[in-house]
Amino acid sequence: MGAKLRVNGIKLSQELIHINVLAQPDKVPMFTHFLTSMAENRINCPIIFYSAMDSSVLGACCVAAEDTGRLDRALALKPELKDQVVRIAPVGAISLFPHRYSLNLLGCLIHIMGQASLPVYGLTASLSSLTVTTDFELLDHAIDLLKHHIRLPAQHAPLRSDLRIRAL
Amino acid sequence: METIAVYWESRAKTYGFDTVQGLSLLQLAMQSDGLVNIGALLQAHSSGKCFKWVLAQPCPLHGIRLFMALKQEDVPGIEALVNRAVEGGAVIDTQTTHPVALINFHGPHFGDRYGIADAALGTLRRKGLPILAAGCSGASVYLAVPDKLSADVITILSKVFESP
Repeated sequence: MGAKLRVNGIKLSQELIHINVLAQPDKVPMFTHFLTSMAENRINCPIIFYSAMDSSVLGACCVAAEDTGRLDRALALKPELKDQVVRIAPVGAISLFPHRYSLNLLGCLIHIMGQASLPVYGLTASLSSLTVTTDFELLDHAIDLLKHHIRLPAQHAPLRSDLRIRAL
Repeated sequence: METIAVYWESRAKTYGFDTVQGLSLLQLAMQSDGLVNIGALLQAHSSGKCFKWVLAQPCPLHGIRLFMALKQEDVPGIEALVNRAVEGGAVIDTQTTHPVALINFHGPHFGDRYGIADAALGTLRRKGLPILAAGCSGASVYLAVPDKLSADVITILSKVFESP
């Protein structure tokens, strides 16, 4: 690999639950039905991954692990959703910023994830950061691998979010 | 320490909608180990080229799907890289959708608030407007939609989100 890519920072999420919402062809669009249920129950979905190309619909999101009880109660009210939801937990998100829309950085990130056989549950970009989700227990390992390929400011330590906003 | 605050708004405020039309949405289907190959190709040979937005999702049939929204002038170069990955067996299938519009918006504490994704994706779905791909992270919402429908999407979103 070439020179290290410059990144100003890395942010790590708290423990999350990754939720795949399975589509049912020709039936109610399950993913938006799920999102409506989350909104009605005031459960935040901070990360969303969605595609609907041709007839293939893939919808997934992450919610905070501490929302597990509220998620259980919300799904209990929607039996049609309960069987369509597959959970993976705990997962965590790594956000590299700024991405500068760099395909080099995207390539670096997915190459490292693939080479180390780290599961990729989803990847997306915000205005400034490139976010990938993997197993929570593998976050530190992923960061160690990334540090071989990216150049961070001196004395930078990955930020671990300890601020949590919870809707009542 | 816990702080309790009450805040409510009838329509979530945004910093405005940004629309880029005429993009291509490149979709790659690959087994998970294909990430190594396509990642290395992008890392080594895409200098100076930019994505406008990206999304990757595991797919029951093909391991993983990678979507890249690209400017039309960057497509041939990236497709050439992808073809190398196809020839090497790393990428199973590719599809390019054009023209696509990319709509993005962000708002204060979007990542900390419930209901934003439903207000965007759910509302568009209920209005019958197709979304090709979408992603939310941080305070950003990105939507890839058919180019010709982008004005309709903005019209609908403007009814549920406040724009300056």
